[in-house]
Amino acid sequence: MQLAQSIFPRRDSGTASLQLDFPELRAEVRDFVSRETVGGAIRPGRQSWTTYDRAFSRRCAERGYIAMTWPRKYSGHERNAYERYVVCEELLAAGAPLGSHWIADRQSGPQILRNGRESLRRRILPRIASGDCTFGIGMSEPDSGSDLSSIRTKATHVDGGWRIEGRKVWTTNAQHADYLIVLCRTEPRSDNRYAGLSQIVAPLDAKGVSVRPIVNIAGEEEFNEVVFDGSFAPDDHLLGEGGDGWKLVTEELAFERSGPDRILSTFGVLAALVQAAGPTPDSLTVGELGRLTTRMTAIRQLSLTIARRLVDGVPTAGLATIMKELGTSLEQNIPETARRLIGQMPSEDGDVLSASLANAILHAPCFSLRGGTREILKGIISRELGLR
Amino acid sequence: MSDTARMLDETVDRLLRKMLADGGVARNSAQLRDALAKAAGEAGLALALVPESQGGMGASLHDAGAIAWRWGYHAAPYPVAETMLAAAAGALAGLGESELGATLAAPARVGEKFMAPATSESCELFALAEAGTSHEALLTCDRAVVRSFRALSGETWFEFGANSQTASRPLPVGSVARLKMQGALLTAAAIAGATARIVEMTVEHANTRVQFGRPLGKFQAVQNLIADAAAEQVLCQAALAGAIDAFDRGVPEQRLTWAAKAQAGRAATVVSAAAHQTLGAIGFTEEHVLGAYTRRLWVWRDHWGRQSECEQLAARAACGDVRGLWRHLVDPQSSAEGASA
Repeated sequence: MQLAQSIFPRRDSGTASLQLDFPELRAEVRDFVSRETVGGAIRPGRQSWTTYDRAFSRRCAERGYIAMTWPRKYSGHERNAYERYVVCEELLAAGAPLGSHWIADRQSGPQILRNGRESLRRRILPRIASGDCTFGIGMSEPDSGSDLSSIRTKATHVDGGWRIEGRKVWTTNAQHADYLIVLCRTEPRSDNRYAGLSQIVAPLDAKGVSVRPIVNIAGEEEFNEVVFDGSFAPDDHLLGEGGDGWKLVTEELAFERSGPDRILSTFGVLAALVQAAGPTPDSLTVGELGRLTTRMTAIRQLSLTIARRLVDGVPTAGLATIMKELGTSLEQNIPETARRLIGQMPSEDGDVLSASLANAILHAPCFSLRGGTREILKGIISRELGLR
Repeated sequence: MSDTARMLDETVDRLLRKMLADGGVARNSAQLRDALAKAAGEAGLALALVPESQGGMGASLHDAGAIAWRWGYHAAPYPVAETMLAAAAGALAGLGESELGATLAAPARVGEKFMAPATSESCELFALAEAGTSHEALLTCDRAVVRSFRALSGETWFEFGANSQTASRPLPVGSVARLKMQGALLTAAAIAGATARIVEMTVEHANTRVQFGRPLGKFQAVQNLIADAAAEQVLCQAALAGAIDAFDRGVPEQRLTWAAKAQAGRAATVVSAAAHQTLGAIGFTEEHVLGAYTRRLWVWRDHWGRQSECEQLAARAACGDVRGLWRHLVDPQSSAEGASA
């Protein structure tokens, strides 16, 4: 079976460790996390990695935690992907507010690095690296969620650039974003539903762009609707060749699905449960926490396996899809288990455990929706298995 | 793959394809088991974990795991993992090669019986005196006082108490904990191999069996079932690889071992259920090979580390770690923990 081959027994030469061994870097990030917690930017249980905090992102940038693996010529730090992984998982586990730079660092920047023109890279990448630039994901539309290739936003070539018309929705942090990478139709629809699409980096401060926040059930204004009413993007904002948007968006989704942010969204609840259980937990608690902690450990091993493959340039195929599915299920199981173990009513006004749990329960439905619904992911896995 | 692992994998694969090809010999027959014992003996597989200085292969746990994986992939009815463990334990106790073909029981809790799969009607029985008692020892047990029974797999197992011991040989400190980890991970490797083959079989069946004018695999309900099984299988392999890697690097991590064995147990259950569900009645017959796999998985998931026990040990270790959960999960095992329980 293609998917699991060469995970065990190992098909590589087997010399490189599967674990991450960067104790100094970890200690450094933990020190940063402590100071930011004392300083109030990190509020355990009361925010998540989608929370926007531009100043915090700038401080991350100052320490070199953004654009870690990018080339120096774009203000990157040319560190290796394992070091980036260590920094990311430490910040995610601490519940740091990464919303201002996370999408840019995780996917938009890499997308521009791989597929953008040099003039675009030089203008935008350093701003992401300095923590001064927020990106949003311009994929979903009101009539196109899982069925992404049915999008109708279109871009017409005009003198010097593109004129964009359409509507994107569920765009996280668009109200703060400087740019959206917009999947749009640049050629009329043909029999091939995947042809004629392109990705364009759309400036949100352009005339004709309006952003309307949409309040979620947790009462937050995090996602948005963005209307492009004939707004302009310069020529060099086109990614790739034009017409290759489906291939590009598939690559971008692979970046989006492969990181530790798909396992750790509710880690704070689990950590709080373990702490509350104390050194001599009762047997009910032991049983429940045992399932969750062993699951977390196993899924992290899968995440490390994927990180290794990305570094080695080995195809990850369906592994990232599987990890996202398993990871988000775990993220949802954690608050579900917590509510069976703790006696108090979860409330955002309560103590850290109560607030973390309230936060987790309110957000849990979106874990298996964002970045590809569970049902779509299972369909992708089925295709990888050769069933479809 | 390391050259050794590749060589072992190919040897075992070739050997088993040949020996299991004859449909005439019943899979659970003593005859087949004895033929496999002979073939395994000729290939020297039991010596995998015995140091070279003592006449063994001196293989890494990864390489021994490759043997167990391929053995599980064919659901071969002979407990090769136990023979590797027994020989390794014997070597630690200073025993010579005459103990090849012995079986080793997993440690039992106080008051519970030892249980081990039979390698032959008259095999030598070893058991481990628990770590944490006054001394660590390899016990030899008197077969005359054992009870034999049929495990879920249809294979013969032996059950015996500590009072049936006829000899006790000291083991170096830390041996029992180490052998327990090796036992858990070799069994998890067998589960990984068996579940890999089952997923292949299930996909094959879903793509060929046609109902309502299309293959079963075209139905989303069936796709989801198989996708879930495949996900658990992949996770099992990843957790196993991580635990074995740590072990072979000389920094065995209990946490990784418990997680690998617990996940293997989960995968065994989910994959077996999905396969039986997809293969329908035909998969529920003795004639179809699926049962040979699932019946073994139903034994392995709770041997050399009951799934629930691994989970509980993991939880107690996490709750007992003053560093907090995150550091417990990602930092090296603290010296305070040791290779406990």
